[in-house]
Amino acid sequence: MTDTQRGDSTPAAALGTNTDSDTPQISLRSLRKTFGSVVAVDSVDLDVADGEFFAMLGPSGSGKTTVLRMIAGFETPTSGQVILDGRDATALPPFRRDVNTVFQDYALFPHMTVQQNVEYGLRVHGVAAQERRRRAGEALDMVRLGEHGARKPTQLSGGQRQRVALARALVNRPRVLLLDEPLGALDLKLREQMQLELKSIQREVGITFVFVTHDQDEALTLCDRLAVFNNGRIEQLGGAQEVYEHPATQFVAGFVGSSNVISGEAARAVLGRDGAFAVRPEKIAVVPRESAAAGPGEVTVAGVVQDVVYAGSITRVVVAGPAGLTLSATLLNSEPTDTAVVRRADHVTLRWHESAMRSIAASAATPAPTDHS
Amino acid sequence: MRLPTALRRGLGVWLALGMAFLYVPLLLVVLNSFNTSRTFGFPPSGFTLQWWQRAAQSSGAMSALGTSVVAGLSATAIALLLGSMAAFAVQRYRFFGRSTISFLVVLPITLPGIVTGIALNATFTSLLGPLGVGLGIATVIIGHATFCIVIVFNNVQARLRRLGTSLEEASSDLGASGWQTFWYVTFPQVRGALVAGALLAFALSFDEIVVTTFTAGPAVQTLPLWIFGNLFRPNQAPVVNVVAAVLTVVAIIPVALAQRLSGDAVTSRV
Repeated sequence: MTDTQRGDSTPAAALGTNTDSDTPQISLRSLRKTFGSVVAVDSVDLDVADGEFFAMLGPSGSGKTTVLRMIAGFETPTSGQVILDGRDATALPPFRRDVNTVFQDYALFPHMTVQQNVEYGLRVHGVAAQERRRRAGEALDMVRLGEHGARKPTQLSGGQRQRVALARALVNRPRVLLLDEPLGALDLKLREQMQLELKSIQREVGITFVFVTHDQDEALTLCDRLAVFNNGRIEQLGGAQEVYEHPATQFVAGFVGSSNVISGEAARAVLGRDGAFAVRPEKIAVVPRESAAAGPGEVTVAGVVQDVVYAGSITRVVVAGPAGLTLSATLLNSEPTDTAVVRRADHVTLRWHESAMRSIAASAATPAPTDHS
Repeated sequence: MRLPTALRRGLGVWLALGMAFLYVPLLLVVLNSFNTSRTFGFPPSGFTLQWWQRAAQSSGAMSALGTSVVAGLSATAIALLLGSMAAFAVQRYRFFGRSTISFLVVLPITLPGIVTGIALNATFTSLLGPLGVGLGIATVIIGHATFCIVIVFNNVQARLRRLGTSLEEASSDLGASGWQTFWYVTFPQVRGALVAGALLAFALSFDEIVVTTFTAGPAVQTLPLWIFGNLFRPNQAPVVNVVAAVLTVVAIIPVALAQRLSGDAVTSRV
């Protein structure tokens, strides 16, 4: 199946980094994978454009890693197709795919030096020794490990191993780089630094990056577009901002960032209508009861402060409203003051704009649409 | 952990007793090989090298040694080939009856040697006999291979399980074919286990007597068979001590090497 109807509205195409924008670099068609009676992946349809930085986000067991392994060729789909650069690759073994992977545990060869590890892909492709050394050296320089070629992987730190794995995967100049929880094993500071590095390396080499993560901050920080996985399906597909600002389902609203979900009786009491609605804590203002006039298009809820949690740059305020509703609001600590804005047991009013509130569906039981217009 | 001094001393004595129980008899054999007395009297009546000389000149002992080495090396070679192939099949592929095969491969080492011996003897004489092949070195090698395979299989299988599949996946991902992955990645990782398995298998084969008795036939004599046959001849007893001393050393070296190698294999994982 050569499918060329989509891929016109992706960021990469919009930025003009794409040489062949008609053919997605990766196309998944009705992909399904079962292990015994367990359905790991179910009816996944997805197009990833050339040069895109794409994230697959989801909790563990949501099927995102299985999808990655099917793109790499380590797992054979139970049904459906994996199309790479317009060609059906469903039955191809990993070594016949123009795709390289950075593994979660890095999987560096312990009996080889760093240099030999990076040269490996070229060696098995029969590249001459001199050319091999030059290109591996370039790859190591790119990840700033040019001096460490003679060491064994065991002599490196976690962050250095991660970068060797990256250099080893990039040395073959693949069309697509897959990253399986690439930063999961690193501590926070190093992770933030590596995120920036990954982003700049991706810009430099200009190829498609697909990475799997359970960390929503990481996904939002790095990617152009992301797919949110739950129970083997894609719940939502879209740009980072789109997914965060317009969560399509209750699951997405809760998993990508945190959301207050107002539904059922509470929705009728507070909003005067049926349905389920999500509003982000940072969209909610906490104001003293007396100055709480609702402007046009604003929602107000009266409540009592239950908890105030100071967290450095922000303060989280938990407020009990009517009909058993509990809402949390985050306040940015931008004022140069030591005194708390609100205290426990204060009577306050919460206020937010209608447009900050999203109507959401219960988590999708039907396949998520693949269109990302 | 700190133990009370009395307890520590008590444990020390206990350990020494245990070690003595294990190793004094072996030491006695080595000592007696230099003893001038023919009757192994203790304390030794004097020091002599004449038994070592006689052993070196004994054509029976020497040819038995040769037979044992040939049998051990051949059985080990067969075990390396079949044992490692079985280990790969069981650890790297999913197929019907996988765990049954794993069990059946390991079973021979738990069977009493005498049962294996009788079974092999009956099979060889009733199946190979009519074809004109009698019991001989070949049947000894086959008999030894039945338990040598288990040693190699267990070593390689444990190593492959610890290794996991991620290195092989990484190799395949980088473009290596199945054979390239095996030669560049898998084999270097299991080499230690193969050598350790081979050394242990050889050591097992080298001193095997029960299965050998049933599979050797009259013309073939391995070293243990020769010792057993000569132990109760008063003339030969001192020479038997020499051969036993040599056997002890020959058996210790591969086992010690194997232990070091498999120890390395465990810790060399990133």
